[in-house]
Order: sequence, then structure tokens, then C-alpha cells
Amino acid sequence: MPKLFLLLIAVCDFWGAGAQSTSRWEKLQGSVGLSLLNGQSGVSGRLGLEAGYELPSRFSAHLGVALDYYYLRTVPVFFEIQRAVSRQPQHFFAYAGGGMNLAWPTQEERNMGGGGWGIATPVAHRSGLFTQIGVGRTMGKQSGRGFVLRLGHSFKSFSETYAERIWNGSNSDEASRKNLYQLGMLECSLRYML
Amino acid sequence: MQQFGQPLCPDNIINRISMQISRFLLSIVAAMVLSSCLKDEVRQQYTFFRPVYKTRAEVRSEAKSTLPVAIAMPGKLFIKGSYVFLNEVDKGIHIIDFSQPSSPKNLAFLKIPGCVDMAVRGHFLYADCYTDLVTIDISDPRQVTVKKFIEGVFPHRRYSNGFVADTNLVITEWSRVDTVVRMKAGDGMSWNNPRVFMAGDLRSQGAMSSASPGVANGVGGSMARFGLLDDRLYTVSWSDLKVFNTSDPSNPAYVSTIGLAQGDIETIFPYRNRLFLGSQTGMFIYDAINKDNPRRMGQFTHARACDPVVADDTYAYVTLRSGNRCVGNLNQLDVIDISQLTSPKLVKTYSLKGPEGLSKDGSLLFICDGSDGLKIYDAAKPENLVLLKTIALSDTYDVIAWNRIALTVAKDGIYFIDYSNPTQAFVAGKVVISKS
Repeated sequence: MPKLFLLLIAVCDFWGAGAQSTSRWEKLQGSVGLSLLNGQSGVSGRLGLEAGYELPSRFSAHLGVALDYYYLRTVPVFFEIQRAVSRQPQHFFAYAGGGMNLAWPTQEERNMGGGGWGIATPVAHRSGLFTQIGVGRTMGKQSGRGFVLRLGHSFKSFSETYAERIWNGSNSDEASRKNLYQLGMLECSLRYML
Repeated sequence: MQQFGQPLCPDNIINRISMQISRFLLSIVAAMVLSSCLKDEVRQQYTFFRPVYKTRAEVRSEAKSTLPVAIAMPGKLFIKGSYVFLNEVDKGIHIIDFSQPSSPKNLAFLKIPGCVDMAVRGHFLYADCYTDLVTIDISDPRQVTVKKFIEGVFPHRRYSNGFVADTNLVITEWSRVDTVVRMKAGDGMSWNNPRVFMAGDLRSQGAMSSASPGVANGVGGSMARFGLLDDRLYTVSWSDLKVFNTSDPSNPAYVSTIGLAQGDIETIFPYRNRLFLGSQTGMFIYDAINKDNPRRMGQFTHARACDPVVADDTYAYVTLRSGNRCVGNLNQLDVIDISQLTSPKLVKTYSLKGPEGLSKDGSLLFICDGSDGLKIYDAAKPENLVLLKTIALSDTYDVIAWNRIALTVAKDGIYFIDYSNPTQAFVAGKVVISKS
């Protein structure tokens, strides 16, 4: 996973360097940003990297990866389509996308439980889906760089399976429990265009 | 000035208002959609046991002997003469004739709903039937007769793992149910909540007992909650000791309940006017010279673990086990000097793999050591145990060594191990456990 991050950073640097020598709306774009996530389970954050490619009719296609800490640490890898209102440096746009939500639990999340007895149960996590939709506005672009403010909704899912002992009155038996999480959250992000 | 024929509200005003209304409605719809999309749901797929109830009268009418049935979930063992009484957890008791250890015969099955403990005195069997103590005449194992019920003496059997049964009815079965529920993520499943459920595994053995003149008591093992000492039946629950007078074996009488402040009690092992109680935090010694009012003499404490105990005149042997409901990280045998009952002292600790039940016959010590199998030690010098033989069996958890036959309960069967020559001990016979 860290290798993937390094690769994306390198790719974004490459695109960013290219963008400096030409006008804003280049064929290739990169952005890095921080999102504030708010859902039923509380407030959390997401770090993201995105690389985009301009398409006709003010559309652009983007590939992104993020490090999401909402409820469970996961790594969404997604494809996104954006459509700008205009070609002006400052413009509104709408976006929608989806992809895989790769589960990357922390050590603590991999061994839940404990209770009063100090027994931890290993948990197997499986990846799920990731989607996002919303609107945004590019701001303060100068020299091919600028900020982007986005507001939208994102959704991620994953599942966990763990063994548990179930009680039948005087004895216990081994069983497994599978939890499929479907988490929806409001996302407000600030990104910097490379 | 307004001209004749001109509408009162110009089109552009109407358009503005309608746009404002549209925006307002759109924002409300957006808010509603977003709020409905901000739910954190979890779809839980799991299995649980659901209780099946019967009336007390129905339960009692079912206490009878039937044709032998396959052993599926064996519990405690008890030996009387050439018969093995093997508990089928919560269902009843298998009676197995092992007069020929090489070809043991499953004779009959006593249906006793809610039975997990038992003891045999003379030709009477005492067993728990959920909250009641039932006395059964087993002179003819194939045609037993229920003699008496003593109601409500085991109130702790009314509930389990936080589940409280309807007090007017009796839980006779637990049906396994697979289910799927949807709930808000985090409800009842917080990271801080224990997701490991306590496994109140009561699988254990009967307690060895001494015989009194006239009426012989059976022989049990190290993990029982029932123990016979002469003409008294002692039973332990989590935190109390009950005394029953069995001087008339067919008509036992409740005598008293003695509160055990320490709690965590799991086993009782009577030996020569002493009661050795095993708890998760230590071993407690009670003097039973006054049969109806045993008195605490001493204790030996240890780290929290499951700890069946057996004893002889001078030493007590305690196995400590971790895993499942047995918390901690100890897997060992503690040999304890009990020559001074008021101040037992640790002699030596031996490391083991996953010890469960144990038994002692003369200078031989038998230990069920989990997946390692049954281990036979020369315990002539407790400070220097010598391993004589290991019988490789899968997941052993219970043993009674008696009269050169070690009855051992393992994952796949009840083994009859001939230890006439301990170094050459061998499996003489077996009764298969059917997991179907």
C-alpha cells in the first residue's frame, strides 16, 4: 500500500510539473486534498490524491486514491467523472465516481474485543464499494495552480468476519459472525491543484 | 402606472418566485436525500441459540430410560461398578457397561432434560434437572424409576449468560438459529464491547467420593460440581455450597446452603472429610468433619484460569488452563503441599500444553493435556514428576483412572485405556462420539 501512495505522488508531481509550463486547463491534472467527513458514527477525515484527464464537452476523467479513517481505516481507489460549468479558471463543477474500498484496518481494528477479560478476537476484513457524488468550485487559480472546494456525499462499504462462541444454556459452540457495513457520510474537502 | 390589460404579476416576477420556490424545494429534497444517505448501517449475519420451553410437568414426565442413543455432546463422567455414567449435556445420561473394556456397550440413555451434573450412590442416581435435583433408581438401567424431585435448589440454572428463563417454564432445548438483522453501526457492537462471548462450558466430571458402610458411592473426577462424601451430597454453584443428606439414598433431603464469598467456583473434589473447591482464582480447602456445615480451612490462590483439582493425603494437583472461557495465559500443573491445610504451599509448577481434567490413582497421575492427549506420570515424588507415557488422543478433556482403566473423554470418543503397566498403557476400547 505505501508503494501505491509513492507511485501516485510521483505521478501527480509529474503532471504538476507539466501543468506549470502551460495554461490551467491542461490535458492532465493532479490534486491533493483533505476531506472532513461527517456521518452517524461521528466526524473523521480522509486524505486523497487524484489525477485527471480532460475529455471533450468540459468533462474530465479522474483516478484517485485516498486514506479514509471514517469508522475503519480503508483505502478507496476510484474512478471519477467531472463536468465543469465553464472553461474559466474559476468555475463550478459536478462530480460522481466509484470504485473499490480496500479495507486496511489498524492493528487494534484487526483484534477487537477485549472486554474485561483481555481476550482479543482476530477479525478478517473484506473490501467493499466506494462511491461519491457532489459539486465543487475551483478558486484562486494562478500560474496553473489553485484550490478546489468540494461538497458532496460519499459512501463506503466493507465487511468483517470473526469467530465467536454462542451459548446454549450450559454449553457453548463455535460460530462465526459477519457484519456488512454500509456507511454514508457528508464530505467537505479542500484540495490543491498541482 | 399599470396599464389596462397588463397582468397584475408580470412574467419575470412569477418566474423569480417560481425559481425561488423551486430552489427552496430542491434544497429540502437535497437535504432529505442527504440525510437519508448519511445512515451508517450494518447488516449482521450470525447464529444464536433460541430456548424451547416446556412445563415442569412435561419435563418430569420425560425423565425416563430409553434405548441407547449416539453420544453427541459428552459432559461429565461418573463410574459406579462396571458402569460409566456419561452426561449428554442438557439432555441426559448415557449408561455404558465397560465390564469388558475392549468392547464397551452403550446400554441405555436416561432422558433428563437440563442435566449437566450427576453422582451415584448405591443404586440411586442424583442429577440436576435444570433448577431441580432429581433422584432416580437405576437398579435396572433400562427401566429406571424417578423417586424424587427437590425443586429449585439450583437457581443458577435458571439463567445463563445473562439470559433469564421464564420462571414458570423450563428450557428443554436450544435450537440453533441463523439470522440476519440490520442495525445502526456501533449499536450493541461498539469496539469497547466484548465481542468474545463467555463460554460457560460446564463440561466436567463427577467428583471422587469415599464409600460409606453399606452403600457404595460412585467414583468421579476432578471437574464436577457434584461430590459425594459418605452420606452427604455436596454441590457447588458459582458462589455457594449446598449440602444434601443422602443417608436414605432414595430420599435425599436438602440440608443447607453455605455461601462462598470468593465466588468463581467451578469444581468440588471430596477427599477424606475434606472438600477441595476449584475456583478461577484459587483452590479452597473445606473441612467437612461437621458434615452439614463444612468450614473453610485454607486456600491457595493463583492467576485467573480454569483449574480442576484432585488431591491425596499430602498433595493437591491443580491444572491451570487458558483459552476459550478460561482467561489468562497459563497452561500448567501446580503441585501444592497440603500437609498444613491452613497454609497450602506451592511445591512445583510443571508446564503443560492445555490441561483439563486430571485423576490420581495411587502414585500415578493422569492429565488430559488437550491436543497432546493423555499423559501418565509417576507422581511418587511430586516435586519430580516423571512422564511415563503419552497416549496420543485428540483434544482430551476428562479422565477418571480407576481400577487399572483410565476412562478418557476425547474429541472423537470415550477411550478405555488399560494402564496395568503404565509405561505400556494402551487403548483397550472405545465408544465413538457422533458429532452428527
